[in-house]
Amino acid sequence: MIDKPLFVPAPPFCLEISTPGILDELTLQQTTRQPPASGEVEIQVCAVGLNFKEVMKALGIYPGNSEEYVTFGGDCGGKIVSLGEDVEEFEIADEVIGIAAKSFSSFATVPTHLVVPKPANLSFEEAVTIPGAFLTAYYALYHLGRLKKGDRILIHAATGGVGLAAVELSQMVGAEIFATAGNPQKREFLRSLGIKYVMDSRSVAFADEVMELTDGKGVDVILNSLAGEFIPKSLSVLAKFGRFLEIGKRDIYENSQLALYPFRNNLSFFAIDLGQVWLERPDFTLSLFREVMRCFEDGILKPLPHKIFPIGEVVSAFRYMRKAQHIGKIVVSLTK
Amino acid sequence: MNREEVLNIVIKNIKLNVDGLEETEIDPQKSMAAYGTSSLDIVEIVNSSLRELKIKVPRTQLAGLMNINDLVDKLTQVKNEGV
Repeated sequence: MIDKPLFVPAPPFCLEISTPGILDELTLQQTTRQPPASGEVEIQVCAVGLNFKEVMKALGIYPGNSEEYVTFGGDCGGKIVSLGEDVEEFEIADEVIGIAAKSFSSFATVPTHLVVPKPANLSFEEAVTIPGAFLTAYYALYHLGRLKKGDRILIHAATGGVGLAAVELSQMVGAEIFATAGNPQKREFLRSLGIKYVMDSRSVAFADEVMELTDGKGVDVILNSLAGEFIPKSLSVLAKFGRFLEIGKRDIYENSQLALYPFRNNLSFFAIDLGQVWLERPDFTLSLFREVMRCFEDGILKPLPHKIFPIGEVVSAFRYMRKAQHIGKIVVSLTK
Repeated sequence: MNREEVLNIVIKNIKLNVDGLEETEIDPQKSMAAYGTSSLDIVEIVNSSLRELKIKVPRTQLAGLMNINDLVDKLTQVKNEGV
């Protein structure tokens, strides 16, 4: 199906949906700018990164979200146009990236702990592939999972944004990667990154394969976003002292039950909701963000592969992600 | 509304939402997944069909359906009983 381009009103506008359920009902509506309060900056948005969460919100299936009027947020990049009182670390016209509650807008007002300078060597479109994906993966793998050289890590759905960020971080630290993905093209892509052990994320056969490849020892860390039976199956391949990093939402919000017997092996289960981290732990979030960005400034980490849609084709961008055929990030540009 | 009309609405929305099915005969005894739909494709196909039929069905009641026929039966029942 070919989506009709959306009418793009004169700025300021924002993306919204009045009754979630059907992507064709996304519209760009005129809005008003929100002057930054103390500790906030206002960004004129040049590019935004689309996250799976936003597509779920548009379809009315994001856990814990009411089905009423919805706006869209996440990774964004742009130029600072206005500073809140006592903001000293930024100046007007600074090029920045960050995470905004309402980033699918011509202007976004953001607390400074969610904003960092854009690395000069990256375009806005490249830079907006970084915040959500790399902060999630960095927090999960390094901070909670204590991933280290020689560890074995199983990365489920490894061609998504967080998955590919986790691949880069695992390679950076020298961990041995086992990855799953949902179709042959995605699996081929993972092999092209130098990953030796690539399996199917649509079948629980991965569990036997992992045990065989590791001589029955299993893996030290698992990054999971798959739902249902994939969770107990994955736990069954976790080695002693293993860390299970859950970034999925569905089973948690459905209050799914999990048997405790596997945990006799000193296993840990971490539930990760980055949104809560940045709301509740602003200073910590900013320090993570800066650590991640230093790796990009040094060129150790690379932005994720991405496909760019102009803002008038934002419905196609959402639909493209809904189809789950993409590799890496989907970026919406407000300047192209 | 008869079952046939509901079936046609569901099939139309499957074809609109999944690439490459324009000329394909859709067998309602199969699951939508058999036609290469992602889980979110199915959400939008079902939402579009509900919107067109002007009915609401709680997602929990749709979770266990196995194939297209099951979905069409459920939607026809809700449409006609107004439950």
